[in-house]
Amino acid sequence: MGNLFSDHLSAVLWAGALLGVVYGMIAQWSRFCLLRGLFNRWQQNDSRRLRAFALAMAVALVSSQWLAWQAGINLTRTPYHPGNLPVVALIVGGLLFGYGMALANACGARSLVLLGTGNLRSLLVLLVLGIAAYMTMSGVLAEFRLWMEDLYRPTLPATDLTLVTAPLGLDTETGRLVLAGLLSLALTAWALSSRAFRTSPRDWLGGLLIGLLVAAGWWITGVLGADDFDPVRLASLTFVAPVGDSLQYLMLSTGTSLRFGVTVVAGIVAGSFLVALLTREFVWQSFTSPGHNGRAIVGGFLMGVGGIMSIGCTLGQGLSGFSTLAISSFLALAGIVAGSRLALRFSVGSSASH
Amino acid sequence: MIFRSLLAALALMFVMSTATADQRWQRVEAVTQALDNRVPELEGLSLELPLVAEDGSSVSLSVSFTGSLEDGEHIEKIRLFAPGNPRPEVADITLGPLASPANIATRIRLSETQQVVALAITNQDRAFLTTRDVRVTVSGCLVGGGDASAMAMANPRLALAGSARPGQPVTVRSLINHPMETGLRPDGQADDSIEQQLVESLTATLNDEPVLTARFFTGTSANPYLQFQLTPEEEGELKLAWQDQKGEQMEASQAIKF
Repeated sequence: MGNLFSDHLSAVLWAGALLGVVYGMIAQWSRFCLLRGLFNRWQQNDSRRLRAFALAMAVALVSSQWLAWQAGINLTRTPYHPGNLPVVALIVGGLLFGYGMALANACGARSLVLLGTGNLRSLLVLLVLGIAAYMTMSGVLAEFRLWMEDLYRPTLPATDLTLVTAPLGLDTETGRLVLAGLLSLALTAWALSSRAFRTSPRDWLGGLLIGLLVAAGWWITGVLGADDFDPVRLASLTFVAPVGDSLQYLMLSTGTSLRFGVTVVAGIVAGSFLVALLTREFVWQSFTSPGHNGRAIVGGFLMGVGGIMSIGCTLGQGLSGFSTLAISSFLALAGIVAGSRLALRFSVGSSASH
Repeated sequence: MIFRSLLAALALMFVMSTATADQRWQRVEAVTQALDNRVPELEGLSLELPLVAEDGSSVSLSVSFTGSLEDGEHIEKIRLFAPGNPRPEVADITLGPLASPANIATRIRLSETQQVVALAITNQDRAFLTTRDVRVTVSGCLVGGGDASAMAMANPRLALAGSARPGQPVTVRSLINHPMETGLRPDGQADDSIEQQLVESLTATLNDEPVLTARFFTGTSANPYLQFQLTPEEEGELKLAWQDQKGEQMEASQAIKF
């Protein structure tokens, strides 16, 4: 592999672009989406898409933990494992993200996929999301974020779920193994308990493949990107900061270098565009009313702010963070689900059933 | 008449502003102190930094000397300053004759958009100075809470890029894991609850002959990285020793074979 590319950095970038293309193709084909899963379940009692997400979580967890053990990647060296857990920021960020995702009718990753199919609404969502993410990360809202993070941040004995197994006398390695086994078994069992899901290859195959892509992301940054002196930052699929990074790269490319997340973002749009062309699903779409437009702007903004505070989005925390067994992922994911539920109750209602 | 003098005044202001624009370093106390009344030459030293730093907590920097020196003259000291940081000092590097040509790379912290200053002083007391503007998009001070358990040095690494030949420069790369806790918080103030904990120095020797000594300050990134050129005359053992503020030491060594 090393001979194929001039150095490990360009290998990571090319592999990232390929990962994005594959994700974009699968996600467009399978309509993979946590929001749709939740809404279908709550509104129509159809849980197939939610089960697809659960299966993706199970596969991501098992494959990532296996890879980490095989290749010696320390998955606690990821942003999902802050030394002191910013509990309030994680939950509030999750709530904001979930609410915004429901308003905008798609999360960050889904918006990228939709953009490839000619959906101009998601272009606006992504622009606002990227700017809001940078505002929160390093701009006018950064102070607010730091204040929020410092409200309550206990130092726990572990940053991942081995917190639970350690008192039982299990060492970290065994603890992770047991947890990964139990959690993924439970998720897979629930997903497969539905006949409707088992007979819908779009859902089960989509979930399975996307789960594997999370581990592929860790492999790219953790194995391809390994270097004694200049290691690539460990990352997998995540779509709040990288959308902001992509906007920044478009504006400042002469003075900045390309990053893994940016090539993934570009790959996703390209991948879903390809599939949309092949299946003749490409169609230009725009807003139907000023209210629709406004919801997209507010939704994108809330996702950008919330996604940075909760260290990730539905995929970033829900799959990538979860696959590292990070405690922060459970808090953020709970916030995201609760936020979408609130949005369904208060501002989206039955209008989001399309 | 009034119009003309106004124009002249404006032109003068413009000339003055451009003339002083590149002299900002003269107002930085740490730089003037390091110069100690020497008048630096502004040609010869070259500083490479990205125009835009996406992550202010780790910005790659390289400084090299491309000018001409007298016989027997070599660069003895390289000092780096980031005057826009809460503390301007980044690193002081003392080079012996074996660490030639003077060509250093490291990673630094920048808290905001600013002009980075590099100063080189030769063993014949000549000074060279150069500056470079860097735009910082994410401040290097926006760090989360420090991880107290990781406050010790770990995993020292040392490698040659390529093979060593007598009298030929070879690039040496080194890195050690350490959080380089500044003790400062995003507002640039010291926080009493956080103790400063830095890797203080790195000493390189070849067969116990001094090659290079680096002192790191708050402006050096976490996991301090240092790259330099070594021109060995004979085979032997290159040894690197790091020391942190608590006095703990770690070593790495590499055989130099022709």
